[in-house]
Amino acid sequence: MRELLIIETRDAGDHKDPERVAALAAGMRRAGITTTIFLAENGAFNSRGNGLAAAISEGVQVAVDRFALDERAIDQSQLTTGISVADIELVVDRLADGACVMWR
Amino acid sequence: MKNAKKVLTFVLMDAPFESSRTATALRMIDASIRRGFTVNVFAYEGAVLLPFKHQQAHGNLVHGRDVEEEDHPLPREWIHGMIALAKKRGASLHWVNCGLCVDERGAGDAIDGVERGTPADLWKMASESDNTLVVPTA
Amino acid sequence: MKHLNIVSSGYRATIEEQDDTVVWITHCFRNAGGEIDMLLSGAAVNYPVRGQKVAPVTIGGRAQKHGPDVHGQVRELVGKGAKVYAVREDVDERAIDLRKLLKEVELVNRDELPALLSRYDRVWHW
Repeated sequence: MRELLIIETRDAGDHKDPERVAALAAGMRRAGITTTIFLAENGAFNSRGNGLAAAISEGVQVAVDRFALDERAIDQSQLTTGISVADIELVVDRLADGACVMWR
Repeated sequence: MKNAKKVLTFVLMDAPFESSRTATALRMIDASIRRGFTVNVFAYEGAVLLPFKHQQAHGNLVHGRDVEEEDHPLPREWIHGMIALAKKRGASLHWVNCGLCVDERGAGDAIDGVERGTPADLWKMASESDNTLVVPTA
Repeated sequence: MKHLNIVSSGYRATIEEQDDTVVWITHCFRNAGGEIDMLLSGAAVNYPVRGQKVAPVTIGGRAQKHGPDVHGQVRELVGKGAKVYAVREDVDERAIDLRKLLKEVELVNRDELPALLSRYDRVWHW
């Protein structure tokens, strides 16, 4: 595996697993795997606050689905530093490039 | 077109109108078709009802909208539209419903263009694809 | 190409289906010649526990003949040559008696997951 994209759709406020997923992503990055978390659906709530700061500092790329932000009226100015906004095509393009994509 | 001629396989599990994952997954499939990719979908478990022929639109009393005004999209319409869009783009959407899942749910009446298959078909599709994404049930 | 199936929702519709459908499909992939292993997490880590008894259910007078046997499903998958792993922390959180676990199941610490996942070309989370 050379690249991993994790689609995180769960709100960390409701589930404890997104925190574990972020830790997994950081671990994958430390193992030398290019790793991205794509926040979609209620995972968009995780784009604010500090929950992903540690993963980002380890070099995990984090992007959030623009559609999900708009759906929840989450202003881009509120996003945690280091989180970018992307469209669903990001997942499609990474799949096409051969990344391992895991939906959570 | 970027990444033209790629083949992607998606595995869906959720029944219609149950989970936000359905719309997200269908958006990805639509985006893949618009990229010109060949797309396989293996519908497992409740997802075999997504292309069910007998889905019917309804009005919305709460909003005071009749059937026509509500214009409620149905998953079978989205799938039908994507099959047509794929043909128009010189791509293809190959939708396979898991046969055992169809049987136990009585979901045999699917729209045109949907086939019936088995997990061995999924394995073959996945093996012959550039990549596969499993969308688990919520 | 090496695949890893991850099962984390345990006992989901297992009574109705008479199987765990993801463990079941993993069998299908192995039968089709796939090089596929399995990682159990969450409640699914209980699957390899011996002694689970599911009496066939009767509802409305309609009796079920075969209840699910998730332990058997995992045991038989191992018998087909698949490696089966379980997340140790999830086992511990559920106070599962390790002596009751199928001995072939390999416990993996959560911080070992990156190393495990990295060994696979495809990881499918169900």
